[in-house]
Order: sequence, then structure tokens, then C-alpha cells
Amino acid sequence: MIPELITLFSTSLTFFSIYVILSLSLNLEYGFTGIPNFGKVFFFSLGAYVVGVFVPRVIHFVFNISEPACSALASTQRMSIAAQFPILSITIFVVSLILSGLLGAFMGYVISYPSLKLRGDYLAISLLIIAELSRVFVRTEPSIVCGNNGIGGLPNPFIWMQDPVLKELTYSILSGAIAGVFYFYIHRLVNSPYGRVIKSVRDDELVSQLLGKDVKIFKAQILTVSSFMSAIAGCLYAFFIGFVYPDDFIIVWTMYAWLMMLLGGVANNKGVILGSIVMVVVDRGLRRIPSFWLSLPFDVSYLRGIIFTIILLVIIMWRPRGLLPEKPLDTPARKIFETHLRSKNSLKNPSS
Amino acid sequence: MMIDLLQAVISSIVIGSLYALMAYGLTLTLGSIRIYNWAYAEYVTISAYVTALSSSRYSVDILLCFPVAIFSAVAVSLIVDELVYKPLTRKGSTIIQVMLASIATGLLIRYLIYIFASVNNVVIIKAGYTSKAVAKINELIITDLDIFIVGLTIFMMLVFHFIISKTLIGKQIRAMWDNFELARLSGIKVDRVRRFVCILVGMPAGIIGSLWSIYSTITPTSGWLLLLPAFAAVIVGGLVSIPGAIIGGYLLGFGENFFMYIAYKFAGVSLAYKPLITLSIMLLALFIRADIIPARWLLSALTRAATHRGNGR
Amino acid sequence: MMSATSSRWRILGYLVIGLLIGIGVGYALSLVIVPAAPATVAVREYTIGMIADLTGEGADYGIEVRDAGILTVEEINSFFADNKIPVRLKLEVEDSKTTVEGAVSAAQSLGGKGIKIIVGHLWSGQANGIKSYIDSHKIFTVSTSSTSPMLSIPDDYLFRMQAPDSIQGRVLANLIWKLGYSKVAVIYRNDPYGSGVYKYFDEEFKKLGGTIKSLAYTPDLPDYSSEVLQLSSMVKELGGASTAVLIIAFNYEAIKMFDKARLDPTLSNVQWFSSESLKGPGILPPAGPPEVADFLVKVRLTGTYPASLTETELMKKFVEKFKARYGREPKAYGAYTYDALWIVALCLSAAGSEDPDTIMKLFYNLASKYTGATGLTVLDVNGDRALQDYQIWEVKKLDGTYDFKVIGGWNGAANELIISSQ
Repeated sequence: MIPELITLFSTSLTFFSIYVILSLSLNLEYGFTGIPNFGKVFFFSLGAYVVGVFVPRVIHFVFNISEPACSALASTQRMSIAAQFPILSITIFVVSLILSGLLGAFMGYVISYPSLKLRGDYLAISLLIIAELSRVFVRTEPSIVCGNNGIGGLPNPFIWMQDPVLKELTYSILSGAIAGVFYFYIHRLVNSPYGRVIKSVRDDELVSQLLGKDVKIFKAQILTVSSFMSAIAGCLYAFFIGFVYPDDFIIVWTMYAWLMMLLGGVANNKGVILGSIVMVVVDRGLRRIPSFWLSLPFDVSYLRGIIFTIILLVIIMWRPRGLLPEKPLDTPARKIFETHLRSKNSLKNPSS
Repeated sequence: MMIDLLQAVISSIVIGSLYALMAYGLTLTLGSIRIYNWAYAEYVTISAYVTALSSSRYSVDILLCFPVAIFSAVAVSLIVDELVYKPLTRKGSTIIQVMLASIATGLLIRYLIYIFASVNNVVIIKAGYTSKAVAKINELIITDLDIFIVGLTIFMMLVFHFIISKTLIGKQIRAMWDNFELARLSGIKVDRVRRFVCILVGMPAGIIGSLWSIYSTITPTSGWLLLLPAFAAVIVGGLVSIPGAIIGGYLLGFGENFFMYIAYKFAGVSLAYKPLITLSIMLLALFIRADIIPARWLLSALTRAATHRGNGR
Repeated sequence: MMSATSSRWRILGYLVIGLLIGIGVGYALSLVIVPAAPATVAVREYTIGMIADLTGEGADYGIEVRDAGILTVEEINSFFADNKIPVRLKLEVEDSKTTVEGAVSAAQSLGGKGIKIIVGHLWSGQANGIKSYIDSHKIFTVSTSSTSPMLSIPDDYLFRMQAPDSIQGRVLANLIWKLGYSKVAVIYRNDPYGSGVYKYFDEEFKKLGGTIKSLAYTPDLPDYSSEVLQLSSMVKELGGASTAVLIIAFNYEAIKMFDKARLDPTLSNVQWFSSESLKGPGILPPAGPPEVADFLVKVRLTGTYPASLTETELMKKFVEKFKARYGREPKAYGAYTYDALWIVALCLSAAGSEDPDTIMKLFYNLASKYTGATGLTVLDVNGDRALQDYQIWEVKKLDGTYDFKVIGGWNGAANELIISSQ
């Protein structure tokens, strides 16, 4: 019973962290800067693909494995080797994280160029197509992640731990920590003069330009940072599942990110946390209903899809800005201003 | 080899017609109501299921199924518009919010179709009519279905063209297309016209669904799989040009069949890359439109003979 | 005086706490509400996980496996109750949705509930996907399918009740060659299953001296006109009377291809062969149109199917029971599920615990002495079925109905092909 609870906790925490990082990045792009990223899953998949491409090749190279990387035999060999060399697994993990982040950042930067020329809906569709294109391409090209078959044998950095429950728990805490670091970073990034500028880009790009802000550079920076984050999320996901295959990265991931952001509150990072909590609770919670108990004539997975789409529609129609509203910037200047306001009020009303 | 090439041309024309008609419906919605209707795919799926079930389970004559399917597609089109799109437009939602809502609506309908299909054990189904070969030139086969598809789709496109260019309500649609606010101010009852457009675009969805259920097997994702090439065609037409969308539809039909056949014969390209063609054409057209690739002249040439003005969007 | 910010924090706090309480309550409820087995003297109930495609295009097969599983578990439990054996089984089913991702999350979900043994119907791509999870979590998994030779690995936690397609590929090659064809145009599914069968077919057929042209198709496309056209082209290129077609596909794609192929004069005038995936519900009427069935009869579609050459008593009883309960005959993988669950049950009662390593060894040993509904269940060193007979079937029309008629077989032990009627 206790190990089950812990596993439930670790799985939930890992997914929660991945969702938080994804939606934080979307919030940064759309909530704060007004760039509608409908191709979020593309950047997410980049991180996962890096793991699928890099990790097996490194292990094969170092240990001189002759089996082709795509075979299941090779993946079993990789797992058992990694279990014996903890330093190696951890190093590979760290390097993969860095590589994923770099690739994501690079792609984000590249995408920023067309994103300037394309208007809102054009941009949204382009990104959606790019995401689909990449999935079809990776699916057909066998040299990336073995085409449609996908590649396994991607050892978790903590694979050397004897107890799988402990391994998952440690990994989940690590993911949570990374998510926390990103949250802190984004919080500082947007609650600053920089945040003010990107909000102005979102609100009225023309005016922003007239005031001398080089919109090009800001958008490029934002896209670089957010794609960096998305790719890291993808990397974490790949190590958690241990198996990467292109058909996993479909539009549903983008929809999830939008749902979480819209639900919690656009341009509100705490809202993103709220949205991710709801998502994890509903998703994991629904899986635990035994289908016999509810005696539904159809399968629970459809129910989950319906609930999510209905929530998304309800949000768009009645609370398009989400549950939590956008807050004014929490810069140091504001804190001083508020304390000043409060002290002024207390002078006027000594009783309060 | 010549025979095979001609056979490829035939399937290109057939599939191209289906894509073109679907793109027509999508462009019309986009131009006049300003909605990216991602749920259009599900109107097609619903009609496909209606035809397939009526003709195979209930042995309804296949030609009778068409009106029934069209009726269901139109009904769904109206319902979705009243419940989702109209309130959002009235609220002044951004185009991104509307797009999200349409994707979500499409997904919701699709899940409902999944549930219906799995409860009734019809996850995969085919209409109760099988095509027969009608013309045989050497070894080239043309079936009655091929002729019917091409004939019906072209007929529908001509009918629409007539409605939009020669009738009063067509004029009103065009006015709304060019300038929504001005049309409203000049006294056009936009809600009524809007409803008419929904009915108008529901019909091709019904037709495509029914035709597809005879041509191929139907699963809940059938509509969505047709939507992507249709959208590609819409983009080739620059999102606003109906002739462009039609040309785009045929371009894609040819790309997937004729071009792929040649690529296989002369360069050994694997057929697995077929979906890549659709998506690449889509992206290319988008980038040209947005001036990222300076080839505007190419697309203008494609959409020249336009009843509806295509530039300045 | 409360400022706006801190009351917002409070609301957030309440929400988070409320959610956490909700998770806890929900989980506790889920444990309580599902009724536990009636408690008699020291009876241990083991939960066996089951993964099957209950939704999506593979639902026909998955639902049959699930139904067979429910039936088998009931039979096992009443048998054990009658014989005072203090072991009961409970089946926990998860849907893999005909996708690899579905299988992976199903496996994780079952693993998260503490399940140590899974019996599942996984196709090769899915088995490949969950392998790292079950190996690292030590979950003993028996798959009734997933015949890709890629998965033949010793010392792992995946056993398979069907022989890998390395055998089926060779059998197909011998079958086609023996029937007098030296040239084959192959169209196969571009995934571990299709490429697995194709690889061994290709090796063996070329060894016998034949020529092959092949085409790998992408699954889940709406239209296969171009693939069928290319196939026709290949047949014309190979030319001559000694050419045949081999199709390695799942039935929902095959039916689209057949519908196009039947109008093609070249393809209608050669003999077609198939792997075991087409024998089952979904192609012949009432599921498929009669024109397609006529085409299959015309081209004498012949194929292999893993099954014991002599119908065992257990198989007869199983089919009867299934028919009585569900009103339809088990066509595909139900019998494999039946055998797998029975062997697992016997292992559990012998071992007295569900430690996966113990059960795995016991399973291997027990299986070698067991004859189930599907025949001798001897396993090889990789945990895969060692002796596999194959039926040879052909689509025939008799008295107005279409069916798969058995016309011969392949004797796995003797490596011998027998055709009874041709």
C-alpha cells in the first residue's frame, strides 16, 4: 500500500513538473508576449528526440556494442550496462539535458524569424504544421529514432538504485526541482522592466515599436527561452518513459498546454501551477477508476478526452482569461510603492 | 507503365475533387464568418457514418443516403455555429481563441463519435455499395464511383459559384466577406446570412462524407485525415481565394498520387513520405504568402481569375 | 487589514489543499469501493494485470482477449474453489488504445498499482515500448501476440505465447515456393510486426532461389490508391505466371487495399498470400463487403495461422464456453490468453507468492510440461514459444458463405509442410 502511494506520488509529481514547465513556457510566449504557439509539441519533441538519438549512440560507442541500436536486444543491454555504471548514467543525463536545451533554444531562435512576418492566425497554423511535419518526417526516417518503431533502452539517471520505487521518487523530486528553478526564473523575468516591455509587445506591437523597442529582438529572446524550456521538459519526459517514438508527439500535447494555461489564468504563473494541478489530478484520477465499477459501456479513456475538451470549451467561452487574473508586475519598485501607500492610509485612518 | 501513369492521373483527379470541395467549404467559412472551422472534419465523419450505417446496416438505397447525410451535416453545422462560434464572435473573441474553440469542439465531437462507434461495434465500417468498373480502355479502369465523385463535386462547385455570384444572398455573403462592419451597417441581416452560410457549407461536408464512405473505410478519424490536405489547399489559396483553394485541392490530389508515382518510378522514393507532401505544400504556401519566400508572383498567377478579390489580406 | 494579495494567496492555498484532500479521498475510495474477494481461510487473491486494445482500430482483437480473460479467470477461480486451493485471481484490465503510448501508460498504471504479473495482448510495437518499464520494474509479462523477432531476448521479463515471426516468415517462404511461385511482390506494414515477418520471409525465399520486390506502407493513412498502384506495377515488372503477391498487414488497412486491388486486372489475376493477421473478424462478410470476399476467393488468398495442427480437447471446450457466454466464436487470440492465464494460475498456486523471478522460472518449467488449448506450450530460452505449428488456410466460398478453410499445415516439431487439398 505504501509503495503504491509513493509511486502514485512520484508519477504525479513528475508529470506535474513536466506540465508546469511546458505551460510556463507557453504562458511566456502567449500570455506575456502574445505569440500563439500551436506547435508546442514540436519543441517538446526536440528534447525527447535528442535523448533518443544521443543516449544510445553514446553507450554503444563507449562500450563497443555491435548490436544495431534499434533492436530490443541492444536496449536491454543498454539498461543493464547503465545499471552498473552510476556515474555514466548521471553524466549522460546531464549532458542530454544540456543538449536538449541547446537544440530547443536554437530552434526557438530560428522560428522567431518567420514568426515576425506572420500574423496571429497564420503563425498559429504554421507552427501547427511544423509540428506535424516533424512528426511525419521522424516517423519515416529510420536513422533518428528508428522510424515508426521508436527506440527504447534509455536509462534513467537513477537506474542503479536497487529499489524502483525509490528511483522513481528521486527522479520525480529532481524534475520538481527543475520545474521550481524554471518557475523562479520566469517569475523574476516577467516581474521586471523586461516583463513590462514584452507585455507591451503583446498589447500593442506598433506602439511598442514606436516607443523605440526592437520587437524583433524581444520576440527572438522569448522564443529562445521558452523553446529551451519545452525541450528540457521533453528530455525529462523521455527519461521518465524510457522510450521515444514519434507518434507520441501529437497535437494533444499542445492542447494540454493551452488548456492548463487558459484554465489557470493567462499571464499568471501561479495560474499555470493551478492549471497543471487540475490536469494531473483529473488525468491520473480518471485512470484509477476501474471500468467495471463504473460499468460504462465504453472505455474510460474517451471519458477523459471528453472532460478535457469540455473544460477547454467552457473556459474559452466564459473565462477566456482563466481562473486567476493577470497581476500587475511584482517589481521591487512596486513593493516600495505599496508600503508607501499602506503607510499613507494608516496615517489617515489610525484605527485600521 | 503508361497505363499505370494514367491510372494515377485518374485517382489524382478523384481525390483532388474531394479535397477541392472540402477546401471550398473551409474557405467560404473562413472568408465570410472569419472562422477556422477545425470541426469541419467531424461534419464529414458524421455524414460518412450516417451513409455507411444506413446503407449497410439498414439496407437503405445508397442514393437515398445522400440527402440524409447532407441533412445531418447541415444540422451539426448549424448547431455548432449557434452554440460555439456565434457566441464567441459576439463576445469579440480573438481569432486565436476561436481557433482553439474550434479544435476543442472538433475533438469533443470526435470523442462522442468514438463512443458511439465502440458501443455499437462500428469502429470500422464501409458503405453498403461497391463500385463497379464502367470503362475499360486496355487495362485502364474507370469505375462508376470515380465518375460519380468527379461529377458530383464539380456540379456542387458550380452550384455554389452560381449562388454566390448570381443571387441576392450570394451578394450579401460577398459583402460580408469584403467588409463585415460595413455590411452590417448597410442593413444586411448578418445573422441570417451567417445561418445560410452554415447550411451552404454543411452540404459539401455531407457529400464528401457519403462519397468517402463508399470510396474507403470509415473510422472516427476519417474526417480529420481529410482535413489536413483540405486545409493545405485552403492555404495555397491564400486563405481567401476560392479558385485558389480549388486549384490547391487538385494540386494536392496530384501531389499525393501522380507525383508520388513518378517519384517512385524514377527515383525510388518510398511511399511512406506521402504525408510529407501535403504538409510541405502547406508550409511552402504559407511562407510564400507571408513573404518569407519571395515568390508572391507564383501564387498570384494561380489565383488570378478570382470572383472574390484575393489580395490585401 | 488584509491586502488583496494575501487573500488571493489564501484562496490559492485552500484550492491546493482541497485538491490534495481530493486525491487522497479518491484513492482511498477506489480501494474501498471495489469489492474484495470474500474472505475465507487464508485465501490469497492475486491481481493479474491485463493490457489490451479496447478502443481504437485493434479493438476487435483486444475485446476478445479481455472477454477470454474474464471467462478464464472465472473458470480458474471456481476450479480452485472446488479443489480447496487457496488461490484466487482478479483481473485488472487497462486499455492500450491501439497505440504504443496507450500501452506504455497502461503498463505504468498497472505497475503503479503494485501489479507484478501482466498477461496482455500487445502487438510488437507496444511490447517494444513497455519493455524498459517492465524490465526495470520486474513485472513478469506474458504477451499473447507481439511476434516480432526483435523481441527474442533471453533473461528479460517478457514471455510470448506465440512464436516469433522468424518462424512464420520462413513458413510463408516455403509455402509460396512449394506452391510453384518463384517471384513475389510483397507489401508489408512499416512497423516491427510487418518488418519482422518480411525480414525472415525475404531471407528464406531468397535462399530457396526466389526473387522479391517489396513495398513498405505507412499505417493509418486514409487512402492507399498509390500503394496498390505501385504493387500492381511491381507485379507487372516481375511478370510471368510464377508470380504471387504477399500482403503483411492489419485488417483495417488490408480491406482498403483489397477494395482498390479488386478493380486492378493485374492484381486480380495472381494468387495472393497473407500472414496470420488477416485471419479473423473484419475482412469477410458481414464485416466486409461481398465484392471484396469474391476478390479474395478469386485470388485464392492463402495464409498461415499459428495453431496446433490437432485440435485439442481444451480448445474445443474453450470455444464452446466462449460461444455460450458471449454469443460469438473466438477467432483470434482468445485461446492464447486462456493458456497464459491458466499457466500463471498454476504457477501462483505452486509458488505461494507472486515474486516475479520465481513465477518466471516456474512458468518456463511448467509451460514445457503443459498442453493447452493452443497445443504444446514449450518455450525456448528467450521465453518465447518454441514449437509452433501453423495452419494453412484459404478463403473459400461454400454454400454461399465465405470462410477461412484449413487446407494444410506446418508441423513445427518436424519442420515440414503438408498441403492436404490443392
